[in-house]
Amino acid sequence: MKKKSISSKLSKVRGKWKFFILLIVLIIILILPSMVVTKYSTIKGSLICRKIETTELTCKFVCSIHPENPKNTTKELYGRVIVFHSLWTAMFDKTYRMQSSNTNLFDIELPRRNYEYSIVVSMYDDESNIGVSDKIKLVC
Amino acid sequence: MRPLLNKRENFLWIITLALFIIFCLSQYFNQIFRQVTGILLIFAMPGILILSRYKTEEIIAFSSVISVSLVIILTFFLNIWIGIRIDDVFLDKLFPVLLVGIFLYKIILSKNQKKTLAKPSKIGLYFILILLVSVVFRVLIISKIGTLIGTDIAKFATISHAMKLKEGITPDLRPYDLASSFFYFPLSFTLPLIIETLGIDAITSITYFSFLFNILTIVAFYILVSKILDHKKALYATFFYSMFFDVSLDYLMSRGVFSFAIAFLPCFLCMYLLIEYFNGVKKRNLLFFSFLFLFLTHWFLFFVLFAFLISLFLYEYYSERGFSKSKGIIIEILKIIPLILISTLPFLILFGPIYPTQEIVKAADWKIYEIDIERASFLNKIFAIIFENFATIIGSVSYSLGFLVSILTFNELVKNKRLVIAIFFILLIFSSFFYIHSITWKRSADYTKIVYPISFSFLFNHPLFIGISFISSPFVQNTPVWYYYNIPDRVEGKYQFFFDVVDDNELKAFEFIKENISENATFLLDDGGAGCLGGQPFSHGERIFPLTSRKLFYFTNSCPLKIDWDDYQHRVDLYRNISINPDNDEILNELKDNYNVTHIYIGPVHVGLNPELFKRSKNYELVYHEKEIYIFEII
Repeated sequence: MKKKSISSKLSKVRGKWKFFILLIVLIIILILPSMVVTKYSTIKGSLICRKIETTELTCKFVCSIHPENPKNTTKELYGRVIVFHSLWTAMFDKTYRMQSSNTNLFDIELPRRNYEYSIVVSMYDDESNIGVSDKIKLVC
Repeated sequence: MRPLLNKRENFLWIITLALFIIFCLSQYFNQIFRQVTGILLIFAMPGILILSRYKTEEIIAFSSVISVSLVIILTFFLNIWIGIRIDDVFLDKLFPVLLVGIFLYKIILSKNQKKTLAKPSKIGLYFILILLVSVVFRVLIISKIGTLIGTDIAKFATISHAMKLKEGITPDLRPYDLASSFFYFPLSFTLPLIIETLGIDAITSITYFSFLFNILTIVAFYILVSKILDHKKALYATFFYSMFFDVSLDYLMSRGVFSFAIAFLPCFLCMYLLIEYFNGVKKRNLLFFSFLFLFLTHWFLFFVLFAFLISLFLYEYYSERGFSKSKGIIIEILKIIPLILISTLPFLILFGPIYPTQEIVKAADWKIYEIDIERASFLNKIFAIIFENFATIIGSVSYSLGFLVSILTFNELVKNKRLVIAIFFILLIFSSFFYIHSITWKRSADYTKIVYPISFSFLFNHPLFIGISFISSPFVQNTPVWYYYNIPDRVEGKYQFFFDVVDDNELKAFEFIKENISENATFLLDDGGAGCLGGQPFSHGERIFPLTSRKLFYFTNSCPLKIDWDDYQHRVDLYRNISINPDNDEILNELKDNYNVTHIYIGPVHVGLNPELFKRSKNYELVYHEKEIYIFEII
């Protein structure tokens, strides 16, 4: 049986290495755009809501959010408060000026429908930092 | 001297010219004739004339892609640059230009072409059977659901109808919608707009052409897998794709994501042509039109093509230790890109500078919808990539089986040319994980499912399995074709996020509106006030505008649309306040005086607008009530 020379064996090994290096490079090229398209949240904020009044027509809630924005140099930020009644249909949509590292309060009045609305707050500042609170339920 | 056209081509030209004459004359005697001949001319004849010397299955798969691309491109030039208005006789002007262009092209091609490209081939009987079964099921689904419904349908039917009323392609949709400008892939609104000139409403046209393209995607899948598998396995893979793994159908049936669903057709065709190039068969025209159609339809699937290209490069390097074929492919693609940009120049210049998602406000808005995905656990993301389908979100039985079978038959997938698919599969699973954080890129998780029917064909390649799959599928949840066929029975009377159907009562209400309510009326309904992804059709009233041309106090805030943010939020506030108390005089007067709202439409499913409160009020008169649909006129 003809023995293969060491150099041919080595070239095969090098070929495999080349292949794997190429594979890694191409995979990196493939996943690179994901870094551009995905902006991760930087602003954190916990949202709490409490029902304060119920009438024949409405329910009133008071909500608070405490944004933490580690990357921001100023304390000013915007908080857009949305209450959804179907998954994407808004019943309430207002933007407030908020202060980072402070508790910010706002009131919400919703039509009484014996229904489970959901509320979420998106926070952003002038330096393109973004964050979103957890989505919580408001029963009214 | 050789004649310019052969007998078959002469015959096709006679048919086309006859269709065009009937099309022009039928506007004087029969609208149905005009619609049928118009549809044939938009979707079939230009492509058939160009491809008359290609293989039969290629003619079937590519004709509509070429025809629709040409019609859309020509519409851009005629309407946007030359200024010919989009009206009822727009196509009468477009078709002569198109047909003369094709004739000149054929003459030039005939002079340069030494041989005919291919003899007309006979298409296999078994493939025809599979296609017939697929068509029958899709026809059954359409006949049961009537029309597609969903966010994208509402959004693009509205955009297209606004353009129809404004008599041209324009990014400014006011006064019919809030958008002062927008950017989106052009087929989604240009094609329904063109079909509207035949007198077919945008919602119906989107439904029918989406299903047509869905069926053609099956043909495209077949010609693609025929290049990788033997004939028998290709047939089985096509059967399993059309019945159990039709990702495109998932997107159509859930929220009507039609432009993305259609994009699977050019994507499969491009993959097929890339393999052909790899095998030394160059079909430059087809490659150009497939890339162009994908560019017109939805850009996200370029990601799949990119992954497929990388798979081809790796395969070539692994098998031949070189990149000579891959380099050739890249050069071909680089040649095509400028042509695509030139072809779509009027559109790119008009819509290109507007990309509202770049705004921080929109980005924050968008984040609301993807936060759940961003915060999903590692395991949830893996499940999404492997087991879920876009439509059901929960794990799909067929996709779970598909993955299992893919693992079991992986040794088959790495053999011979199929290694390309194995690399492609691994790349997709791996790369999807990096893209899944974003709600719109979550779709990347669905691309892996393209491989499942191929894997199925290794294990289940006996007629017995077709019988078993037919018998068992009605009992299996989330098996696409059966599942979608059963939707209307399961969702009747209930609002569901993903699957919703329109009932006949709503169409009756729209007929009432057309016949009895002034054309200047504006309706307030329960559907608006949505976030970045666009209004979720709720009471289905969003169809009032595209079907009756009556305006809506509809404040959709879709990410591709640029709107007056303050006005949008103020409208949500008015909607909330009138929902709380329909007799709030201040709000009611503002709705009447500032927004010209004349009517309230309340559909079968409602939250904000409660019909009981409106019935009790003296400010409103109930002018229509049928089952659960109410129309009130503001007094």
